[in-house]
Amino acid sequence: MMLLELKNIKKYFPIKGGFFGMTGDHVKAVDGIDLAVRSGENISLVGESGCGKTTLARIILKLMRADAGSIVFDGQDITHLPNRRLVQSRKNMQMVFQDPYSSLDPRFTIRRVMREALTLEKEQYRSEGERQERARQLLESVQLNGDILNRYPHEFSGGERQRIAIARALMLNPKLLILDEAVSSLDVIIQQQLIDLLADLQEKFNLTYLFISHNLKIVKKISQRIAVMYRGKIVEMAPSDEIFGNPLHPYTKELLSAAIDYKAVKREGEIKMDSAAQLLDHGNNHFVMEH
Amino acid sequence: MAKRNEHMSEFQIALRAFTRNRFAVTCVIILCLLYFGAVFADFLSPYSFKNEDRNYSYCPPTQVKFMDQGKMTWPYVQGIKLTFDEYYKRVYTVDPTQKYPLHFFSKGDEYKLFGFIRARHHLFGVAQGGRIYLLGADARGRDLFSRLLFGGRVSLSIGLIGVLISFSIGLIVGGIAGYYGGRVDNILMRVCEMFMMVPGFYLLLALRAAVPDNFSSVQVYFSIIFILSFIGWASLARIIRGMCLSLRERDYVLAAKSLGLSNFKIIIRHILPHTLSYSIFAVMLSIPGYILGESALSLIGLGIQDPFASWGNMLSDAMSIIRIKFAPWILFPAFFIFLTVICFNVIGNALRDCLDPMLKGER
Repeated sequence: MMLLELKNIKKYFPIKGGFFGMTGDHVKAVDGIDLAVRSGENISLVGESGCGKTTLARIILKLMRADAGSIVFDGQDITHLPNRRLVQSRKNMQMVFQDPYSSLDPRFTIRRVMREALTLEKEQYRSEGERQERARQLLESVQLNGDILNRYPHEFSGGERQRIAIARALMLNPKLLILDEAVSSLDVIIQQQLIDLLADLQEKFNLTYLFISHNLKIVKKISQRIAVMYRGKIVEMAPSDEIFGNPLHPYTKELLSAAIDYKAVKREGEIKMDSAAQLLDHGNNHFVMEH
Repeated sequence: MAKRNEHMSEFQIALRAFTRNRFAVTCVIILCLLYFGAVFADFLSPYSFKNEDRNYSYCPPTQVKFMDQGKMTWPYVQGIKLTFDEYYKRVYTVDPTQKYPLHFFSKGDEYKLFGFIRARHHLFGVAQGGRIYLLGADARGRDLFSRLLFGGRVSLSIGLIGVLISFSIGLIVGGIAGYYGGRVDNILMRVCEMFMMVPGFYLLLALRAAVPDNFSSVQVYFSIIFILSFIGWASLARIIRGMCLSLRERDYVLAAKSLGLSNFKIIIRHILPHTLSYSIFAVMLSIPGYILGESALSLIGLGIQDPFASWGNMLSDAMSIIRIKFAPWILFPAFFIFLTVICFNVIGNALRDCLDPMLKGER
């Protein structure tokens, strides 16, 4: 069953300039993305910074309006739903942000952070005790002590904050968790711990992950399917082994060699991107953009 | 105690840094004294602000004596004799034969404490027949010290209330403009610019001219507050808007949004509190503007009207150099305005110093 289906999502940012701030050119941040995520799947979106990964994540979460295309989540078309009718889908998809230093409001105690996460489930957790119990539970499930509720975010390390952010995202018991570079800003050991933790959580809470990263190494361990994004388009999409064993698109090859040794990266001219290019099926669920 | 220190919010940390700045703390104490004086003006002053005695016009400050013929005694003041010299200039001479002992909690002019408790007692006064002018008297023989306390009510409260109003408007307008951006932002900011375009003092005068001149002094007081905050909100709104523009891109704002919080709640909980550290010292630095604005209006006779006192209209007495030469004590209100403005500025700067690391951390 498909949990999330994106069809031809586009987002262009106008570049304002010149006289009277007239719109001249556009940045094609997301340029016609098709993506389907199965329930329980672990899919990764990989690409260099600026290729539109984060924009896409924000569009899925409806933090940003797409210029074109449709988003179907859990059988419901949420593309044009107004904010107040998004409650159901908001409960079911959450995001963990890149920067653990800015994803928690520095003025909030952890208790408030966690309590706020329950805004949409107020009816279910009526008493303050119940809410705290829930918060404590989740903090413990991300291997944090349950009695840190009185502390402020600045008292925690980056890894701990990211755990708190994960716990917060899980408060509403979502089906889909979007992890936007969730481990990129952490050191290698903490990264490893977090990835193990995420794998545990996936099993425990029946989660579907959309893992966004620029680092293929991290993605290799955790995902079943990988989509490589370049300049707003998915240029190659295949099961994890296929991508690593048999990369077909030049950009994927480049990414792979960069993951092994950044000095090895050499760009033989620009990678050509035809705006009309299509994803071609190469068998084995392996799709590659014409190049 | 140690456990409590462990979990301080960044704001509490900043507050602790503030209390280490002795100069600023001194200023806080001075301001507290001034406000205390204004609140309890009825009780602390020996006379009411209206109590006049024209025989004592521009009477110099009276000395309180503690020694009588070389011996310690209950404090008293001496009588004052008014004579004229050959140019008909007033000359006040002390009459050592008349002694008026100082009374504490003496009965004097009737007043209502906090507006409803009827009372007659004043902190101090002198026996019947004598007059005590701690800081001298004005043209109509009213006690300058009493009037300073009463005037402080107007001058000091105008800053606070004015700032409260204009900052509420500024925060809300700036918050909305910054958070929503786009067309809303555009419209609101153009409105702000319209207010900022007109030179402040002329706008002040024009607005004052628009207020009917048969207003009672309470109405005048509130119209002055209204006018001052009407002018003051725009610049703050612009700054808050700029901060909100960057704040709304923060991850925790996006997180709150994806957790399903309403825009209103996000603005109130996650955006405006972060402009608070800026707002606090901006408030401190802009209060003097209100005090000076009121003083300026009152000084040119458009503000609080005699017999009601404000530091500004008390100063209007001091507009002629001759009067200042003969009765320099009528400049005391200027000293108090100066003191207040300095205090607010020092506190504002100190607050900025201790809140700034926080601002940096938030960036």
